[in-house]
Amino acid sequence: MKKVPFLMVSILLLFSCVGEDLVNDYVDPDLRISNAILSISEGFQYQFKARFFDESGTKVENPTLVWRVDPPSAVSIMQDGTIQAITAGQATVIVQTTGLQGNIIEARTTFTITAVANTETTTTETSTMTTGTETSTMTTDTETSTMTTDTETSTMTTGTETSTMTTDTETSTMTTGTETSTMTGVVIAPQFFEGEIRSTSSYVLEGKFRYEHDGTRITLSLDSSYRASTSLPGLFIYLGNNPRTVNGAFEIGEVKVFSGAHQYVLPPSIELTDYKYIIYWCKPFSVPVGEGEIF
Amino acid sequence: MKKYFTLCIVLFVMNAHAQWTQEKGKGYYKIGGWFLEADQHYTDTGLIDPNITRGHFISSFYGRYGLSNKLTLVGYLPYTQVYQNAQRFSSGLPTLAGESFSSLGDIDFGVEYQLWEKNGWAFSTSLILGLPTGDDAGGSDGSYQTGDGEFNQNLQFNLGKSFPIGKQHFYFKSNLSINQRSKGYSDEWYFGLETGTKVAKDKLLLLGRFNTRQSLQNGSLSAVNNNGSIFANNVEVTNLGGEIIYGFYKVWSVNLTGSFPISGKVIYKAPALSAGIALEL
Repeated sequence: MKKVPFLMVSILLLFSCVGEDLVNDYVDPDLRISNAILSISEGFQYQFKARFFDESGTKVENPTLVWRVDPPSAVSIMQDGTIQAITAGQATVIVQTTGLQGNIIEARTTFTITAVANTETTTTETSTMTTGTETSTMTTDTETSTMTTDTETSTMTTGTETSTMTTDTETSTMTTGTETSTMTGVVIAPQFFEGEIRSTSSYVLEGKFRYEHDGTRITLSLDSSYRASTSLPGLFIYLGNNPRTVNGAFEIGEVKVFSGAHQYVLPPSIELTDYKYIIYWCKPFSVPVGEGEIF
Repeated sequence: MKKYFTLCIVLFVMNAHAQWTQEKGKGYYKIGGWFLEADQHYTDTGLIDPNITRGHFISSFYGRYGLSNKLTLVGYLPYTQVYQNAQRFSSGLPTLAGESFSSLGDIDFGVEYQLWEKNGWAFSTSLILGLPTGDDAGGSDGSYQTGDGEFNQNLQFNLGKSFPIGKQHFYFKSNLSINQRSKGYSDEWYFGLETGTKVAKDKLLLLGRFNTRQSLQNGSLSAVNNNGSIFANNVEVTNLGGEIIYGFYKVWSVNLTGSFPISGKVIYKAPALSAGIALEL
């Protein structure tokens, strides 16, 4: 009879062992072009970059990518993602990779190729400067240029334009007839996204957000429409690429504001397209309770 | 939430012995295990959401001793384990290990006093004090709570009556209690009904129960002024349950208990099962 209590407690203890849950965390693999542009000038080059996230939302290092363009007559492209703009018009860059299931995964971005502006062309086609010999000759009717070398600087000014060029070679030649004043010739896509937080649970969680890179770091701003249930236990906010888990996600921190506008300043190491989702996570229940799709 | 579990267990056990207090010098002692494992919970809106499986297992000692024929001393000593299952991912991500945390839970003790007994009716009151002896921030992320870190006082009134239906004897009990909580938590009220009868030559006692716990929503503590979210305030639940008690050798008994939630807020939705062995001397 003395064994009875021990048997009963032992039976209950069998139920209290740590088991295992199967979490369905599958997400569609995502290939994204991380540095889209709005436009590029004829003759300029630009290197696109792409990131691939697998079925778990985990970034795949050095994925095999295949780049192409449409139409090929407008742009040429190399397999490192570098394009050369050829003729003005619309163009699309397409990048592909193969998923774990053998399926082709694709991302594309469309941009404008702009013609070179005539007003930025000098009437005198060539200027030549030779340093080291302390001799400089530049002739132009409409342009000013400043050229600096290790040994000499010369400045010329016209009424309409100024350009600056620095070189550490002793002789340089600049032909202005084929160049624009914007040295890069590329207009980068806007560095922000806007969207809405929505509840994925029975708890109240909503609001609009703006996710913006200011050149140094990203700021996640929630506006005055934001509100979250104050009954949400252990609420944390994350950035991730899989809204079903915070495994591998970046933890921003515990949620301490439950209504109204506020913002989170993120570390400089985070780039604009590193994470696709804002995830609100209830730690005690280990479940997502809300999310915002960044892009 | 853990506090709720503890208090419910105490009240649950007490109800089975309320109204009819211990005789002077006699005691009732019970060791047992209480178990709950849940993969879903009631949210603050009363709807049901899923969660990673979490479990609570409480090993406990419960005792009552009659200081006089009207005054009974009550004590409850729990040792609590809280655990979470490991997570295996369908995508192939590495499995996240589970976690378990154990510690002494919140100890309860108090007294029960018989106010009145006549013609099968019994009326008593009890005052139970909940000591914050558990850990309110256990585990790797502080959510494996074995206590809520607050001192609370539960004042309960019990009314019961025994009565026959034909040749079968039954009893009926009811209880109403107020649980005053500290540290800004909302106070709560409890209400319970219980009925039972003995069968199998009085060796088997069958019980049916209804219990509800409701928040008075009067706590100053909130996620806003707590500088972060909080856990287990304004918890509410209504349960239906039953118990089988088998007596043997006159002083021994074993029991199996089940409690099934039918509604709630911010609490797991899963049946709670318990078993124990008791000695009455």
